[in-house]
Amino acid sequence: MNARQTILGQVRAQLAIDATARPELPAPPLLGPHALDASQRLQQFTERLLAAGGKVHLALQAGQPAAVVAGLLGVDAGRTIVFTAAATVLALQCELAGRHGGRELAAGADRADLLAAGAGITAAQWGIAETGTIVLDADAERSRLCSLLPPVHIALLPVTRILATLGEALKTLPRPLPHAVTLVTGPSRTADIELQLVVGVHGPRELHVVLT
Amino acid sequence: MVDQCWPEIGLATVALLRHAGCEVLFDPDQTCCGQPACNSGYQAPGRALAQRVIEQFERARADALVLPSGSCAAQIRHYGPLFAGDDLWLQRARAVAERTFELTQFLHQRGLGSVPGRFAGRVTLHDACHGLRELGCHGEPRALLALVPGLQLVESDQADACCGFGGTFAVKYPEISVAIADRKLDAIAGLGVDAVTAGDASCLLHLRGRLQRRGLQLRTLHLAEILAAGAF
Amino acid sequence: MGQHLPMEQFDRNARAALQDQQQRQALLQATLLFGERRRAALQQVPEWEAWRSHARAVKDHTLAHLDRYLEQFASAAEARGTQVHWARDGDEACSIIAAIARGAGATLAVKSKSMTTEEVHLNDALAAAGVEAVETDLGEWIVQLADEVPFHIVVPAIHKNRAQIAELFAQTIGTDRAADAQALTAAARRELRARFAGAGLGISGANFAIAETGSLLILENEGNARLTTSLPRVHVALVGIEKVIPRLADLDVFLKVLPRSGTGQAITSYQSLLTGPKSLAGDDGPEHLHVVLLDNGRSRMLAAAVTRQALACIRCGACLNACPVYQQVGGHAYGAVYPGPIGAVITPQLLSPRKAHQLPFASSLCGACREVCPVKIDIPALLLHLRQQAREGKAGQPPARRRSAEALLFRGFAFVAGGRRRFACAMGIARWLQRLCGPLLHRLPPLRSWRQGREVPRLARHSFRARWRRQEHRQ
Repeated sequence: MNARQTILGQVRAQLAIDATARPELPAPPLLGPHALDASQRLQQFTERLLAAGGKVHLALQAGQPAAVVAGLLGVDAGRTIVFTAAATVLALQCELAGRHGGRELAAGADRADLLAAGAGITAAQWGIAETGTIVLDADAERSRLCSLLPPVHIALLPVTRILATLGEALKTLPRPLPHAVTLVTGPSRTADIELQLVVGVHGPRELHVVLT
Repeated sequence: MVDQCWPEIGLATVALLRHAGCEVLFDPDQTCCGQPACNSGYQAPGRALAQRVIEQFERARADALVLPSGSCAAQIRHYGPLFAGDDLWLQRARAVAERTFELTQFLHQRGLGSVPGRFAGRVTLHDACHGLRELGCHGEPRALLALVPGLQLVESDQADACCGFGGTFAVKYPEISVAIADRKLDAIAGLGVDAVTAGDASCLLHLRGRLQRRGLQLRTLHLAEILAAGAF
Repeated sequence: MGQHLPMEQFDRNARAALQDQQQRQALLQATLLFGERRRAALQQVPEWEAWRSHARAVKDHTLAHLDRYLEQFASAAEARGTQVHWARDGDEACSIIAAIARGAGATLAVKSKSMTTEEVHLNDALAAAGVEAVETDLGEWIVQLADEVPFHIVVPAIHKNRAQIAELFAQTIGTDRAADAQALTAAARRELRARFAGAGLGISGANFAIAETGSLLILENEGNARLTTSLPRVHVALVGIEKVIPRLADLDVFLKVLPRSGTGQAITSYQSLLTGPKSLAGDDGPEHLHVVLLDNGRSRMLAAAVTRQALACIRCGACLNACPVYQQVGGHAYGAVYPGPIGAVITPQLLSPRKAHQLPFASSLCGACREVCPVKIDIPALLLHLRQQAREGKAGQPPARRRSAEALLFRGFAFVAGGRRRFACAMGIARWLQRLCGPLLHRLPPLRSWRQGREVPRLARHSFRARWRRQEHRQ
């Protein structure tokens, strides 16, 4: 008998000893504030993300996102910027061309570039108002490291994509699931040294969500 | 424990129950609810003691079994599992459990509007663990203490923290037991109170022993003693 | 990694821990802070009790059908290209993972926090197989550099102050001894990035394994788990069989109760939902994803409801923070990877009932753990169950020491307390002895222990029953 058979057999045998309680699986309940309208979702998303240490920038007019992002990147000439392959990000990359001193790079940048980059620009496929979270679909982005390696992460999120709750987000994820879905709420943090909060450990120390 | 070490608690309890209009019966045959044995893993002797308690209560034909101890009351209320598989004893245990009450919960349920005691001083309350978490005893002692003329109740933010007694734990792991008591007592020290009170004598004897060793001035009084202060 | 203290010497370990004032300070501060944050978080959630009940209901159902869900998980994961392995015990898990490392040609592995890998002593096994395993969670890395074991589930190095950590870093990676927490963290980031870049293997645990989709869910704040699971070419996750949950939708309640219970956060910085290796060659992520499902004694715990509930544990750490014993002695005293109340009940069952025999008794049974557990595990009931098994044996199995002094004492007490005259006689003798040779009595075992730190209460001159009798006579 191989290990799988042994383990499953053991599980069955042990369960059979006290076969009295076989509770039903409850349907997943609606948890959290699910009845919010669009403006309430926007407000809650902003509040929660700010509380978690992220920054939120409204850029609803045409051309605003590029202006906001250019402002965030500043004129630091030596800094490399990496972009993912999401459609909105590629469009932004074009609009940004020449508006800042950084060297641009596309998605599929090699490891060395990603490790040296000063900022990573991605889209976010969904937002979650309940927690101030953005949801990154690695298949849509064709990247996982762009939002992780550089010290600054800028994410473009359409306001219309802000969902009310985590439960709703889980329901909305594409099926079959992408190989990696990452939920991001604020910058990377730790309190491992004397409980002192330090922002920016292994992941980015700054998270900017640009709402389009 | 009350019977042999701290009879004043028993006398105060009797006074309170009479004040509440009850006829008080006491069976001198009683000894122990069996908790120390059960909690140490010896269910067989614990069961024997439980059977005695059940028989005694049945003989007394009383309406209620009232104890000035949250942990003993909780033990008796949970006698059921001791008799798993023995339907007759299970039924008898449940019948007794239904009529078993911790003292302050019993008094509060009877809607006591006054208490016979007077106590001038600042007092803090220790929420003994079994009474608090097994019986949900929290509002009742506070409501009753509020009826005592002269008494000022000062809440400790560590009121619901364990005192460190824990039955045989106190002698099996004395250093940890005492460390936990110190944390409790240090929290109380900053409150400027004259006494700490609780519904369990065991917690209080443990704290008292530590206070005496540390040479600290803080009285340890059972809730019954305060509620009937001067009247027993 | 360092060696655990011997768990069979919990009393000695505890005594030593109580002497370390700095450690006690740090521990009290941490547990107090997490407790306060948890309370603050719960105040925002009026439906908290409903969440707990639901979380427990999902776990109860899953555990009652665990074989079915494990099979579903394995099929769904394999359909997405995950290689699923089964390990009956820790040794088997270690050889599987060592073989994966060999196959990947990896001599350096990066690890994100996984208590399950510590349970099976994976790092030692990998070292023996020529693979260096580097912890990347900051607290775990500090502990690894110090050649110690973790002190707390959430903040493994909390027993060390900044100065000690700075000294450690100065000696190992050459940082400035005056560096503050910010600078120390930055140094760790730089140092570990180099390791991430050179690692051929990433090893993680998983907080949840979703049967419906064959996915893993990993929660964190630092970002090292994301790096561990996306940089190296091969990723292995070691997952206890009790981590399975039925559906993706079930994640909702667990992602709500776990962070609030552990640190008071509504959500951690990152959740990684991983389903199979990467799809396209040019993508980020591992080429190979392995999941090793571990039993190591978990299946045995399914046999009875009272023990089965311990498998519902989601490793949040709330019980540690609430426990008056843990608050005083910390994680090292327990001598095993799982400390505190949950450790006291699963270590005897998973690791060694004989060696862990003290743990179920090292509790005051206050019940604070049960109160804070997000999945409502009745730890005190489980402690009592283990105590009874230790003293009176399981059905058909006699206890270790039937005729111990303690057993005789309790049987003797039950006998004496079983009759009015016997009891009166015994108490009469006790009073007489107290008067005559009290101090001598205090040298005997139970009283001698009591006397460590406390004065001994005296038997009252007249018992309550004696005074009651006098009152009755007067009437």
